[in-house]
Amino acid sequence: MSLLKSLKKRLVYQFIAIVIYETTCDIKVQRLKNGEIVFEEAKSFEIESKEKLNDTIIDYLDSLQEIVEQTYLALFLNTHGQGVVPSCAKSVYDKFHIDFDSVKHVCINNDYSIYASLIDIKWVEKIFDHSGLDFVFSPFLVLNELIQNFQLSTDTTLYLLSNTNSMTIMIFRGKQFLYGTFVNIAKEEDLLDSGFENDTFSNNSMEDEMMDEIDLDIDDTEDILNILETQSTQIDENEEKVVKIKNKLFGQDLRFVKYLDASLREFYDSDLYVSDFVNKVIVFDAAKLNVDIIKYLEDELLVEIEVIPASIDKVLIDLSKKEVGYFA
Amino acid sequence: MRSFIKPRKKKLFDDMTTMWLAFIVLVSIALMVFGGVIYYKSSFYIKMIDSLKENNAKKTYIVNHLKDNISLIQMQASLDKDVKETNRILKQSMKNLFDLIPDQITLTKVVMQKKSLLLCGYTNSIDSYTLLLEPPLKSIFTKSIVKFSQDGKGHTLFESFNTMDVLKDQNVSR
Repeated sequence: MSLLKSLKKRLVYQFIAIVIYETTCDIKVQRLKNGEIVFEEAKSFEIESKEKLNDTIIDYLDSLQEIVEQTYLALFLNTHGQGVVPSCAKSVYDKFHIDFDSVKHVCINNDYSIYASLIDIKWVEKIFDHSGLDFVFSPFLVLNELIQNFQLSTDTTLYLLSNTNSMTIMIFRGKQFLYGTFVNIAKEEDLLDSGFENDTFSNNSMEDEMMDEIDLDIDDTEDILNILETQSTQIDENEEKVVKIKNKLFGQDLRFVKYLDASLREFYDSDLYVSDFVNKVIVFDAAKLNVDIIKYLEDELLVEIEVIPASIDKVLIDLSKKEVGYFA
Repeated sequence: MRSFIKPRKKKLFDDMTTMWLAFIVLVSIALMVFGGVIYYKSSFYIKMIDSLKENNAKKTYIVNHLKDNISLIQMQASLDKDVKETNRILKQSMKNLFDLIPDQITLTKVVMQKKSLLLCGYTNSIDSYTLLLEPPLKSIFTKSIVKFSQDGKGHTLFESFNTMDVLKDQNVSR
């Protein structure tokens, strides 16, 4: 075995990460020999639709595969028909009204499982019918891979993978998975009823929440009144700031906030999930997120938001290497 | 396996390299088989040569033994020939001797040596001996000594000792 391992290591390996957006297709190529990168290239191709790769891309992929026999193509799956459930058991799928037989699921750390509909998998396989495809990775797996590089805090933390046309959300309490969702933010979807437009996150509700928290700690009436006054002033300032930022947000940025809000609402309201207050938000930014969004979210959610630059291509290549068993 | 699909099976080498490797492997196998056959054959021949050498050594030993026997037989044959020749000569000598003996003389003892001759017998008279036997003996031998005596029946016994030269050799041939 060690001989085969040694032989494999000496051979040239090529890993290709593909992410398809609405109008573009990003391809990153990494060629390795003896554990060292000998070639690296990132290209972006324009496509007419997500349904079909154009000939330029197919020719490019074919030419890459002709050069190196050991080529592995990995695709970032960004279709709607996927998700994550907080268990690997079939019964939990029934609870979430997911037909277990019509999805392909992958159990992660015996804690939770990610799934994708067989239709979506067939669909992406069909798109890559000419060039072939080796791996289809879930955005949840990519986010999980990014999370693994960080020390998981014991607090309830929302991890968000922000991509050009999508966002992937996973909420953990320590190492325990609580909630996850994937949303395409490229265009307006009617999948989530966020209530964002109706200003659900109103100042009143925020005030109520704050009051609840204060009630827990302080009994003195005078103190409460003083605090309320201070908070009221702060809220007024916040409101102005929030409205100002909100007015600056439009299009995809607005949808980003809207869907994040809807997801949090689902997490807090749905009986399917173990509800807990999110104390921290870590954003893995793969799409140069608008700074205004971060400011807005920090003010809206009243939580600390940490933004970490991330590369989906790199994670896809790392995942492919792990799948192949390639270790430098 | 964390991907939703299984990776395509990859060839370790491209088609041309695979063909070359297959060719090299086949040729190697053929060479190994050929080498094996040659080794088997050579070991067989080595064993055969060893066997033949051993056989040859045995045969050489037998041949040497036979040669010894032949030389012995040849020596015996030569000896036999010599003996036969000697016997023939002796026989001839004896015949010649007996031819010399006249009818009036009867021999009782003949001792023939290489250079001498002892004759014992009896005769009718001394004259018969002197006239008939002594002359031929004297012509052959250089010295002839004879002694006469009488037996009780009226016969004259004689004992003649003849020599050709001085007696050196005491071997007696009969």
